Amino acid sequence: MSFAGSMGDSVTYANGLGAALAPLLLWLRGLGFFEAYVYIPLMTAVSVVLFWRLCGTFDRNRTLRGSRLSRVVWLGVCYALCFLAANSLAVAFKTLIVEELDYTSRVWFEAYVGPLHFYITAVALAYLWLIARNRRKPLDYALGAFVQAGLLGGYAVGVYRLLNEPFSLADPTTGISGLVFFAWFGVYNLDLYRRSSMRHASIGVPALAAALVALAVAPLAGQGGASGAAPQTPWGDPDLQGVWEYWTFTPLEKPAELAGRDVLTEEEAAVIAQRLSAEAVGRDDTRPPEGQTGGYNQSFWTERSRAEALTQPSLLVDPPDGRIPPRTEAEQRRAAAHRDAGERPVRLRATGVGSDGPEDRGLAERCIVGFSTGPPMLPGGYNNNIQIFQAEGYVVLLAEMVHDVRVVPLDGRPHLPSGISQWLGSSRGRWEGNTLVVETTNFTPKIASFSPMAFDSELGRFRSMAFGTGDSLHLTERFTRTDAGTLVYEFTIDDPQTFTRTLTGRLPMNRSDLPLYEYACHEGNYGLLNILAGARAEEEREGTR
Amino acid sequence: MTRPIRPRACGILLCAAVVALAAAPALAQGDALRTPWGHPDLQGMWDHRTITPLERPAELGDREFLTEEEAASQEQAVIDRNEYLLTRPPETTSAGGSVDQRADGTPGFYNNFWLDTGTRTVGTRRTSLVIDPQNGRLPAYSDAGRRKVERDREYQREHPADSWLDFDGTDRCLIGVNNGPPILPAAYNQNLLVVQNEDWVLLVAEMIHTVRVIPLDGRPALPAHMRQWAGDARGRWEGDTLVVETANFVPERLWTTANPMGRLRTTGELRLVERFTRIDADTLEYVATIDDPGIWSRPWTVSIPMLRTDEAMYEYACHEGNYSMPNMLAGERAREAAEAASR
Repeated sequence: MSFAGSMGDSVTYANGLGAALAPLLLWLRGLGFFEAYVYIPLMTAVSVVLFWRLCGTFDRNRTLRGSRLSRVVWLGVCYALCFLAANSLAVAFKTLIVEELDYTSRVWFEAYVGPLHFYITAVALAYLWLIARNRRKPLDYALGAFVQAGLLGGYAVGVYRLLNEPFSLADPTTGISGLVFFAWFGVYNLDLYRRSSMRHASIGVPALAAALVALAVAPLAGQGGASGAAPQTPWGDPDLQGVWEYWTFTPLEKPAELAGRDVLTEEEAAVIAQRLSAEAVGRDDTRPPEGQTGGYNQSFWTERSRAEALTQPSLLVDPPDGRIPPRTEAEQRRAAAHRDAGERPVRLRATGVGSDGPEDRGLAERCIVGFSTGPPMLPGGYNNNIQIFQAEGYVVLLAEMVHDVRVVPLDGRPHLPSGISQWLGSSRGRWEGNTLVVETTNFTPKIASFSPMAFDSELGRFRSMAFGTGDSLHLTERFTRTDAGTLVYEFTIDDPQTFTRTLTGRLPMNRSDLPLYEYACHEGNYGLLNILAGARAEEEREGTR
Repeated sequence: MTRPIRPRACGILLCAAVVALAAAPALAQGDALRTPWGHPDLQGMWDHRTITPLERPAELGDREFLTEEEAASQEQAVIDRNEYLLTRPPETTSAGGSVDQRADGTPGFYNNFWLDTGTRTVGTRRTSLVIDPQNGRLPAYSDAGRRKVERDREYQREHPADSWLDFDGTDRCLIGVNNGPPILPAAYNQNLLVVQNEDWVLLVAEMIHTVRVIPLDGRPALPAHMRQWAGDARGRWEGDTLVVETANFVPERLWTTANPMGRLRTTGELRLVERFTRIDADTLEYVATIDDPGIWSRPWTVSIPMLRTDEAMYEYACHEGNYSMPNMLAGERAREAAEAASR
């Protein structure tokens, strides 16, 4: 509410008056001491004069009766109203003159009502005058009608804000201010009703009706803020927005020694994560085997020093054994046909089938798709983050790796025609309760149906696998925000040409406060070049032998 | 009995008036060009093709606008040329030759079929996209800029293709030829998808399939040492205009546009202010001010009205099949080898 404090550095002017006065206001603000030494004392002085005059009238009319405590409480409320009147007047003048930039969404509203603060002030002062007079006179009927109308207007603002503003405890200027309006005007209302001589100015049926509307609206609007479990966007979709990170040591497939276990204890999960982390990071100190270059430094480059694992024994939760289901006969024949020469086009994410040219290398090495971003997403070496944005009608999934973005329409439009295939497929989304369901088809046959990178604790690095071809894949992903800090991600791979049954994985993602940066994958991608150059050098050396 | 009723009736009227007053804006909110939270709605697919040149042609002098007839005849000329190039009889070539080969023997460029620069002049009928300076032309280089451009061009002549680093951001699949940022019409895939909510605006460009994620919450810019190809953008609303300020560009960002500006390496000082205003249901006006004192003597501004389109945007997997890069480098190596052999 503070006049000086809330004026932004960059301002636009509501009108010519604003443009003329704003330099003065900004200059005053620039002096620094304006708020502390001018604004607050001035507001205090105005409100004290108002209060002093009011107390005189109260005395003359013996308005305040009852116990000493109740008189003290009412005088306190009256002083607060006087201060509020002084403050609201200042804010009202400010909104007439200077619009703050972040204020634009509400400016049109205030422009209509008047601005709102003038209105609040007028109703509050009329109310005070009414109780100060405490007499039934012809003038009081008009004043009473004004207050009555004013209270109704206050309820209308309350209903409007509850309906149209997000309900957030963190920002009291949003939907929560609707409740404040109810409480505020409700106090006047009850007080007027309490005073038998004032009942002509209190509100009976209309107030009740307004309160009923508010009651009907409040649970609807309050749903998001109150439960905390499923925050909502202003347009009522579950709010999944933010950065979500998904690193974990939990393996894709259930290890043999955990067969039959569905849930691990927290302690067991911690022990497994500690062991795998220590093993991975420990390899930094050993030289790679002769003839091999070694890979990323595990403790610095990758996330392996973060010893985290889930209580679920594997990312795959279906089939129940937590293992990748058997491949179909057709798929086994297809894979066997080029087992020796290596499958081309290469559908592995990392490594590759040779080094004759870039096409022999994995898709992630070629910067075509990320090694951890799928779809479906699975934890990989680093940058295990996605950021979700929502707008009415769209969900946008931005992967940090390769800076790949999937814009998912929610309007029920059909998938792309079957003739058009893409690396990331064609995604369409919908809400099932609080769950975002994204169905993706139209994958290019140049990508695998499922190409996970599974952390191999024997090798101490990720092992790249590729099953089937994307053209027969129907992928379903489900995103459910189970609490403020957790987004449960579930994916189901349905590809009867590749697997004998569907497979489903689950991966809880954690809310992160860190930002995503650009990932210009092909900038400085010397790895690919050096791999090929190394192979040429080796060929040359063998040729000269 | 009549006296007490009148004020009551008066009160009811007042109530009705107040309720109506409160309800009116709620009805006005049904405005299709606004989001439910009151921001102008910029969402959707926008097409930024135009045949209006970046700079005003010299022969137009100080004329800011075309007449309606001139605009129509320019548009017709493009349509006629497209038609001619599409339907002209095929030309026979001999082995080793190329229909697209240029007079200097270089292999040519995309044919007219590939390019999609539109057939429309900008709706304002301005003679150039540049609206500032007033003469519709790019400003002069700054002193430092002239030295830098000369230095860069000399290097370019002597080292046309030593490495992929000598190629521009588009050849390297890092930034789009027509969406930098800034957006400047060129080539093909000239579409921009805008997705917005109360706190973010996302600009998804078809070319290179890049997305710019623009926070509106007033968060501070990235520290000066963090540099990105698309820069670091911060947005805010000024009235009904989305203002996006971008800095932290990678220094020496080699930027080619299909206009007289040619190839330039912008400096790390580059600052960009872009303004997006939905001026009607079908038009999103894009005004960009480019300030790079390391190149130009003053900032300059372009205005491009983008038109709403219902076409879909597809994936652009830039590096898939990007054989040109190895071929250009290999071609240059072959030329060097041939030169060395003939010496």
